[in-house]
Amino acid sequence: MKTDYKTIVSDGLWSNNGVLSMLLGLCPAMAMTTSATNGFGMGLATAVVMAASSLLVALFRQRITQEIRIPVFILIVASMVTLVDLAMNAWMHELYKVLGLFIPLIVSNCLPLARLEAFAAKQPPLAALVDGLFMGIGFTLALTSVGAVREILGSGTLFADASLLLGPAFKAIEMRILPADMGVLMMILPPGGFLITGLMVVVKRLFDLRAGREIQMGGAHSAPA
Amino acid sequence: MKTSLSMIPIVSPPPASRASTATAPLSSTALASPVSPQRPRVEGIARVVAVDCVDGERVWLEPEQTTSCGGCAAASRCGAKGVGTLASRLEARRFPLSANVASPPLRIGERVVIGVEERSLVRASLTAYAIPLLTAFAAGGVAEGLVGSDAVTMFAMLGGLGAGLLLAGGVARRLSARGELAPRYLRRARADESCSTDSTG
Amino acid sequence: MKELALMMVGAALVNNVILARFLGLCSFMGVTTRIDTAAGMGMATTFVITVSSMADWAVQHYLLDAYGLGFLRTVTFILVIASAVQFTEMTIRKVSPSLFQMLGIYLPLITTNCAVLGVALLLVEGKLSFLASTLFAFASAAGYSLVMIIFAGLRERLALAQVPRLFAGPPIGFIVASLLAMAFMGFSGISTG
Repeated sequence: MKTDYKTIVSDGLWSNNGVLSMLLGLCPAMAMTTSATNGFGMGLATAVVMAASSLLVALFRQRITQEIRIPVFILIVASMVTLVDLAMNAWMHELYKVLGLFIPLIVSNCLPLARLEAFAAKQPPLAALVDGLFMGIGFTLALTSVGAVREILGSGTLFADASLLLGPAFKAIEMRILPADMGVLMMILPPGGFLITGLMVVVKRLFDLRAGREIQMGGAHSAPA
Repeated sequence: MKTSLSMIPIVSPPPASRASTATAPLSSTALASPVSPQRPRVEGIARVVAVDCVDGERVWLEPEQTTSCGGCAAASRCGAKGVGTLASRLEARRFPLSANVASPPLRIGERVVIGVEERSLVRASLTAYAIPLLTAFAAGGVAEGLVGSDAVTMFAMLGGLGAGLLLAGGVARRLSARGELAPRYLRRARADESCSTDSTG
Repeated sequence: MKELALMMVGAALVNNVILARFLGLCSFMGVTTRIDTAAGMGMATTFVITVSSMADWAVQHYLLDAYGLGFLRTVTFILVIASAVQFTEMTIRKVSPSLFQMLGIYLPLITTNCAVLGVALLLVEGKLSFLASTLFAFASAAGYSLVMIIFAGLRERLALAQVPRLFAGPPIGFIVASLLAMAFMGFSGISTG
């Protein structure tokens, strides 16, 4: 069976984007997008977990029987999360402090489990790794863009504190878009999270419509009434 | 962006069902139960898994799995079914439905809509969840006041929880004696109908 | 006593699990449009959160802290929550089969979502006594149920509204939730000491 990597990549980045199409993993997508940097960091941690656990599941897919698969998946994700948690605590401590609770909560994020069950459990390791990685990158992109919009509107900056959180090399991307007193505080508070995420889904639908694709109504609401 | 916006038919033509409800008064009961005219009912979907051949009077149903994600459609893609969920649990949830209320003969594999009265659902969940929690907190509060050690409070709360569950069992027996817990057959499910607690969505 | 009451108000309203902490959004957005189902689901979740926080407190205190195994927290909590959930489910089934069946048809009998794990992890940071931590979990869960019920009520009305096609479904839900979150920010004036 030939694996179509191009579809996997485009699915992960755009058409099946975890947050904007499938509406999975909403908790970190709103809690950790008060700035673009936070969103990027959160997305990165999730991407690493997804790639690693997809690879592991695909490697052991013949041994994991149908009955025990969900508990095994959860344990694999939980171990990967623990590893990421410890690694970030050691090497990216500032970011670790910002993300806090939401790193262990990657375990209960719907997205990794959904991908493991839908893809990694049935595919060869390489394809699973690519799928996990690009789903994770798609997630990162969505989080970073939601974070960027909220940050620009809320505090007028973009990637503020990137050098502090991600490392000195990222000093160059710190930007100020609007003057300091122009920010709408509401945008970085919880209501802004809901509002901007909702509007981002609309923007994605607009793009899909222009490209002549079917709009995905997505999420739990899609059930026919 | 502006030009593209104007090209898109933003307002979709209202579907027939929506148009009909839009003229109806904004009452939740009118919304809730399109089927039973007299009392608001909560509906659920179950699948017939067995028909009692001996007397032919009872069918066994298995509820379609619902998860915390509400719509079953989304549930399959959602981690909510992950922790602590096993397919085998569905088997434990099989329940009988007497034939006198199941008017048409049902075959194995058919999906049916079943319903209970609206109040019974809230009453049942109050019984199952609120009573044990209340007794647990009462016991824990008393223990904390008397002894004040974490371990003692913990065992007191566990005891309270157990007692509350037993009490809930008693209350449930009374409810069930009054027939409040028995689901009733409403109609056959449409093929595209999913867990229809969402029937108004 | 006063501190305990203030802490509970803080957990339920000011730092609402859904609207301020963003936990359990999956079940929040997917919640049914029926108030009674939402109430039942809220109660089930409250029960699970409270019981599993009790179990997690015991594990954290007597196992992880005692043996310095804090790094295993995530894995252990997941297992503890899953077993606590299975245990209560079995107990309810034993105590009253008819109740179990009835609830099983309409509600996700025992729900587990990220709110359950999230509250458990929040409690670890709090380092509270057993009763206080259980009350905190209960209050957080009560706040969760409250918002679920309010939102179900809003969606009952929303189902009748003519929503532009681009906004239909989740986006309009998010925007309504945003307004709700704004309303809940009013509670942040309450000082929780």
